[in-house]
Amino acid sequence: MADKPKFDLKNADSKFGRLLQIGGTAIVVLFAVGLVFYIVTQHNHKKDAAAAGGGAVRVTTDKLVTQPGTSNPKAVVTFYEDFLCPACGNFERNFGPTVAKLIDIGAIAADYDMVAILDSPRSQNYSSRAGAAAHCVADESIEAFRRFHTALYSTGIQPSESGTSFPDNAKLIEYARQAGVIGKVPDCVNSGKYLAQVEGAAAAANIKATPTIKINGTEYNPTTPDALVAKIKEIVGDVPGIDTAVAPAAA
Amino acid sequence: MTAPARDARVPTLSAWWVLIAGVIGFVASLTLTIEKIEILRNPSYVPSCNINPIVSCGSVMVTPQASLFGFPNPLLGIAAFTVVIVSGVLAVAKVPLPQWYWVGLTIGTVGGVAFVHWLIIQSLYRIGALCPYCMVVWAVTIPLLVVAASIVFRPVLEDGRGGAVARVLFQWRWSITTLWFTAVFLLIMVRFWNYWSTLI
Repeated sequence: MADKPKFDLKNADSKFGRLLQIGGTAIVVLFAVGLVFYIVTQHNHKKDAAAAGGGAVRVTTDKLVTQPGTSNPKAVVTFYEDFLCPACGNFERNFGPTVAKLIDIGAIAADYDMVAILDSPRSQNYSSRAGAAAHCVADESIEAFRRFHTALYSTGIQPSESGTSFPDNAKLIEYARQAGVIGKVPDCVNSGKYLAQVEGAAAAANIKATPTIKINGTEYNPTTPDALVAKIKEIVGDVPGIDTAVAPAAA
Repeated sequence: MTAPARDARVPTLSAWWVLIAGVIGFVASLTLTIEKIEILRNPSYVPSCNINPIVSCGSVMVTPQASLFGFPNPLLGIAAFTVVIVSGVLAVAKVPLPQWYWVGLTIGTVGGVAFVHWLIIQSLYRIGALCPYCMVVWAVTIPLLVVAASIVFRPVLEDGRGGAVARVLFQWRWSITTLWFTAVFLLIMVRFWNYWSTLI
């Protein structure tokens, strides 16, 4: 063995060599992490800015109770909901009929801000696709939007978060047709016109959980439909027909 | 040195590494298999590793990718890591093993690393969820390849054979591994940034 010069693998293990290795690696790692985080956060800012211009779908009637001398509603109830979120489905199935009545008698203006906090490739990004489709329907007709919105949360149509099959765009267009609109809905859904807006909606409104309900900008935690009616009555006063909540349809 | 030249000389640290990696990988595979059986017995069973929408093994385990060869992947893990444990025990006990044994283990680990990277891509870009026990397997398999390969190449390089490229790769092997881990970590951060950013 002695006649053959043994290659010195310990070269890099000398104190200097080792420092160079550890230091160099650490610098490269920190640089890469820093760079990627910078790019990611910059990118997100842009997305937020793009989404900020969008907003919610407003549902009102011409009977709306307004602040004296203006056309501003007395009570604006904003609903931040994700079409995939099971709690949103529960909320809509229990409170939906009451909310619909409050809209119809003119007690509230309802803002529906479709968010997509549950988006994932596993759910084929159903949250953002369904939210975007709802905007497409609202572009055509607010009445159709109300039917579409109710339908997507109904038992049998709302997909399970842990399920394996999710309605595709064709199916969403079909639900829109059943809600009473075609028009530009297929183009709008297939082109993904509102996808970016819905994807950025949660960040834009700083929404971390769904459903989040705000009454005139203040977060409200609904307990029962009756409590919601009482709360609205405090704000708008005695509007004809406000006295009772509507029992949810038997599931 | 009196050891026969044909015996691979396994440094003590590498020997322990092989043994510990084997045990960790084995425990992770075993846990995944047990969780899989629980899911099969009771479809509403919530696995212990379902932490949030992204970090969740339940949604990963039910995918077709989790049974690539028609049976759950962790069964492969149990078999493979058992071999790794035995190799580790023999190496720690300083039982001389022929070079071809370590070459075989390295080839097997190359297969394991390739499979792990396929799973990383599937988990990130197809399934869209991370399973913690699977990530443990990713994390031990990659360094295991580095250790197994260095056991094979160390004697070759010490004899002065092997090219300059091989020597540089050997000397910088842990730096390369660190950068590799950083890359995977960053891919995970970027992929699920929309979710992580809501946790801050």
